[in-house]
Amino acid sequence: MRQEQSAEPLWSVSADGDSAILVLQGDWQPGEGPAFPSASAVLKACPKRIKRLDVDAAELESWHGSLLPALLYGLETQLAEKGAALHTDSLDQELQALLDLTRDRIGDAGRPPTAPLLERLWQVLLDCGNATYGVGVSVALYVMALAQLVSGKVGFRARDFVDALTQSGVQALPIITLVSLLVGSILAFVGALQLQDFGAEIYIPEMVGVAVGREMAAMMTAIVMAGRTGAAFAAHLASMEVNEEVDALKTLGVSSYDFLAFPRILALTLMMPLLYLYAAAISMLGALMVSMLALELEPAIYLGRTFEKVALYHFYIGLFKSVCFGALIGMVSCHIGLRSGRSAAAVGESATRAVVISIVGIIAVDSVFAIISTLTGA
Amino acid sequence: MAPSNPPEETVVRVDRLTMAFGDTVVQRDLDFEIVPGTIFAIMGPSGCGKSTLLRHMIGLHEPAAGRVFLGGENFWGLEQHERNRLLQQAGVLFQGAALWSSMTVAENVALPLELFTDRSPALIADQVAFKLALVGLAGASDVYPAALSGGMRKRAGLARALAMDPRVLFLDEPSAGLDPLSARRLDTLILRLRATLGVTVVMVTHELESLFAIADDSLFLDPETKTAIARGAPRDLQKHSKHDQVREFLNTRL
Repeated sequence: MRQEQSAEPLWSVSADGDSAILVLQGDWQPGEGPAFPSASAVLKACPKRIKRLDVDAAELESWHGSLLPALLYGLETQLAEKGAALHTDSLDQELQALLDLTRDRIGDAGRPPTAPLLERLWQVLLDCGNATYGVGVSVALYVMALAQLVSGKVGFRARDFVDALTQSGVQALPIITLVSLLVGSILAFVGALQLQDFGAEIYIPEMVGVAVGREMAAMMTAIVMAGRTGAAFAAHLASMEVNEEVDALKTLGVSSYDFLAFPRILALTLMMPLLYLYAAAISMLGALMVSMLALELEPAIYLGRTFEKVALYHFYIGLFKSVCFGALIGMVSCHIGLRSGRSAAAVGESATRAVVISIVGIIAVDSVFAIISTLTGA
Repeated sequence: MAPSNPPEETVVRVDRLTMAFGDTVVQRDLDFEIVPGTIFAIMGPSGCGKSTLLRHMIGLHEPAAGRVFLGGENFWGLEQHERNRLLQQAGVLFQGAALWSSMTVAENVALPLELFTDRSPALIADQVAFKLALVGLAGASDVYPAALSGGMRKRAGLARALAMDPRVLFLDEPSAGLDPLSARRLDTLILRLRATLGVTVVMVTHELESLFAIADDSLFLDPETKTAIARGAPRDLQKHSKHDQVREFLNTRL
């Protein structure tokens, strides 16, 4: 345990029964070179059932930085856990003063207790219950706010509403265009590959029309909007919560729901059907282009068959779904944003949760629609 | 590069510094050197550029003109990697503590050590425990910053600033937002750290009690003339400054 160069920090432990002496020597300077011992390394060299460790610093030449004080503090706390004591009487005043500082426990924070397993399970159940309750509350709040709006009470600034409209409308058009064009052309392409075997390419316009109108346009816009606008809403509201902006509103007596959440949810609900119609049109345009280029189908024939064979009620279903999706995304994102924790990490977490829960919700709502339309034969 | 480089033991020196945001000059012709081992206060009314001066000294804001010397080297004349090396000798406590919220208190303190030293995990753990105990947060190591009170966050931020055993400690409004007891405790802590670790402290503050209790030297920034108008120990300035606004500032009583 001894090293002989005096320029290096040296230590040795000599044990005697249940007590031991830690001899410190040489220079304790931070920097390159010698390996400094950790408190646990020193304790390993001590007897197992140690009761008392004396520090002998008579040969300690100099120390600088916090390597030595940290070692002594570590020894003191780890020995205390074993019911043993560290005696540091031979240390110089500065070291004593530093150690005294660590013993000063004014306003010290206690370790937070960890809840037992059963309690944590109960907490998970409670959280699930709260989430369900939250959904109910969100829907109720939305309906109430809509009713108030109809009766002429506006609890938000027109400017915020217009911002939310642009954010969930015009600004989303480029990405919606891209996604819809791709979905439409892929549908046509994959459909053509299968139908060609039967010489039935002529059914592509109907197939694309029904698929896009009923499902794909509403679904794809909803997922894109959840990732784009829903995440933005959640992150925005969450950082307002972090900055105490939401609290500032509350102390003014302004309802954070009416002022912040409602205009956003309303904007999404209004914009989603428009985006849906746009996405459906663009998807069919994509399919038309593929049919024209790859299958040499005349555009006039394509459009003719679409208008003739695709019943309008498919689009009504899609339109209705998109309204529901819009409201769902808005409610989920704003609900999560306003209940965010108060840190930078919590903002990111809120955005992630908003997107994930929105997408799960979209799929769940879509399945409900599918079940209802199967049962009613629509 | 001027031939008159300051001697090696200089910790911080500011040479004809002009600070500006775009065309708006905040302060001009600041010229001072901080004596190693002192507690140096930058004071002045709100909006005079105290925090901006601090940001110039810790490499967050580039001077519009003039130079900042850290450890005897012209900070802004260096390459980026050399600046980073200089900054490792400085510890900074930000106004809002600026703890990284995705890490526990212990991880916050350990990060600089993990990044910039090759010490073993056991040694780093010893250091972290010691630094947290110094600021009275021994029990809070596994807590996330969000769960801490304002005063505890400040102390955790101080522990992080101390992690690398810095030569200079920059404190931005250390006692702002603390209750009087915690503020006095923080003052005592700063004094003892200076005495035991030999650290130089540069702090921005307008807490008079802190100023008189711990600062040995200070600089008064005047927002009117946009430059430093007084320098010296706060107690001397309080009685003998030739500027009315300095005496008024230091003699305000609640």
